[in-house]
Amino acid sequence: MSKLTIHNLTKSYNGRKILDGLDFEVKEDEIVAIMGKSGSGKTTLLLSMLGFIVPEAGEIWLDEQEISGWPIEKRQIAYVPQDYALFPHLSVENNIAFGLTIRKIDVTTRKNKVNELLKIVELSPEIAHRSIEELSGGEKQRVALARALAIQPNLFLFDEPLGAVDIETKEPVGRELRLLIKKLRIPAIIITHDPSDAKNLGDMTYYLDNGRLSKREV
Amino acid sequence: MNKTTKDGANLVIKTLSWGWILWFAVPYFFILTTFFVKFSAAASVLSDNRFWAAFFISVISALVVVVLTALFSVPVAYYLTYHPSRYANIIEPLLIDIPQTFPPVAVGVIYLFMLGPSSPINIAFTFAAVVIAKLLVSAPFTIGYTLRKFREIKDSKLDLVARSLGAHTGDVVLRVLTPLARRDITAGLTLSWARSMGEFGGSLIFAGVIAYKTEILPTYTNRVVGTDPFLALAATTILTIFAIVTIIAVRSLFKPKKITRA
Repeated sequence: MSKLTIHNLTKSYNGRKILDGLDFEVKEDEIVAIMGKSGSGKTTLLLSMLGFIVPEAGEIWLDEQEISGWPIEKRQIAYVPQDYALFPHLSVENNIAFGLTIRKIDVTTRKNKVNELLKIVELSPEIAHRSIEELSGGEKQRVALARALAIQPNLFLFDEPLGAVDIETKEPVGRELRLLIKKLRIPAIIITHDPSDAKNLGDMTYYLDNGRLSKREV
Repeated sequence: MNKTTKDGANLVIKTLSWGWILWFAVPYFFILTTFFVKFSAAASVLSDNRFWAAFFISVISALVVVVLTALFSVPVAYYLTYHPSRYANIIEPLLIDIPQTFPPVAVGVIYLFMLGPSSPINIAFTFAAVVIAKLLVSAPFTIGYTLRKFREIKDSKLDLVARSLGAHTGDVVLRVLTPLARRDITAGLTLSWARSMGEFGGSLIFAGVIAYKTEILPTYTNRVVGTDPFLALAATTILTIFAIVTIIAVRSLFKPKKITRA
């Protein structure tokens, strides 16, 4: 079980402090929503945790390790962007197995692992050979989760996870996503601009404004 | 277009468009028809050894250009995509727009001074000179197409997801960028090939017109057009067929595709 601790995270662009000494913590099996207007620094925070932006100061602890100097590919952080970013040239199976293929895991182990992951995200094994274009929005989300789970992540980072979901299905899709994350017992951060998404998905909500985080009751 | 709209503007647009299309299509029909009408005279080209030499030198040099372009375009496009430079607005035009619009004769003159008899490395009037002159005007198509696609992939965050799943640069290039840009790279290489087959000015000046060595189809055509127009007609027809067939074939086989989003 893992835990994320962020201490004094700071980043500026052109003299303006986008992140101004952020402190926060996400415990194991906790889902934290981070809200903020566009331009408030949500993306900068997400990319700093992911390792794509180097902060000027601050520490990022994942379990007992300080990872702020680590390259993105070493962090084992599962990143799920708004439209899931499934690889359009790969089948469902090869999407899920992407992280395993990179790690040169043999084909049999890979196939078994894919079946196991499909079961965890409650998808039928027949879906494995389908192309991404044949999937519904909900199926795409689950495939993206399975692909992220394959690398045994220490943290989930969701960028607007319900941003591409129809208004009518938002509530049930959100509820299912929340249940799945809870079942996996992996700490998760949800970046969103939508207060109702923050409320439906998160255990608690932080609001990012002027480079600072404040806790919000939802 | 709505069939019930019959106003003057539509008629003007239609007339202008078809006039434009015909103006562009007519030369190809004309050259092909003339070739068949004058076939017996033009066919004498087939027994001209110098023509065949020019044909093979054209094809082989264009192939070398395509191979070099294919080898360099992916790494160069990757570098430009992921290492945005403050000089990008100078570097990119230098690699893409300027060579495409630069006077080919000027390319020949520059290379003649840079790599000709007055320089320590004299490769003027050799096969290498043909390749170098062709490369400058042909490669930009592939670099441009590849770069545009890589940027589109970057915007879709597929590369970022791949990295978060453990992919290193080599994995991102070979497993994400190149397979997704396959059609665009192929389309670019086709244009590079076609441009390379037709390149004239740079080769004329830097490589010269030496029979069996640096003479290519365009310079062959230029040489014979005054003395034996039917040979020029035959060579032009072959260049035309080559250009049309390769471009249409590859365009219909590999339609550039947008990245599908959820």
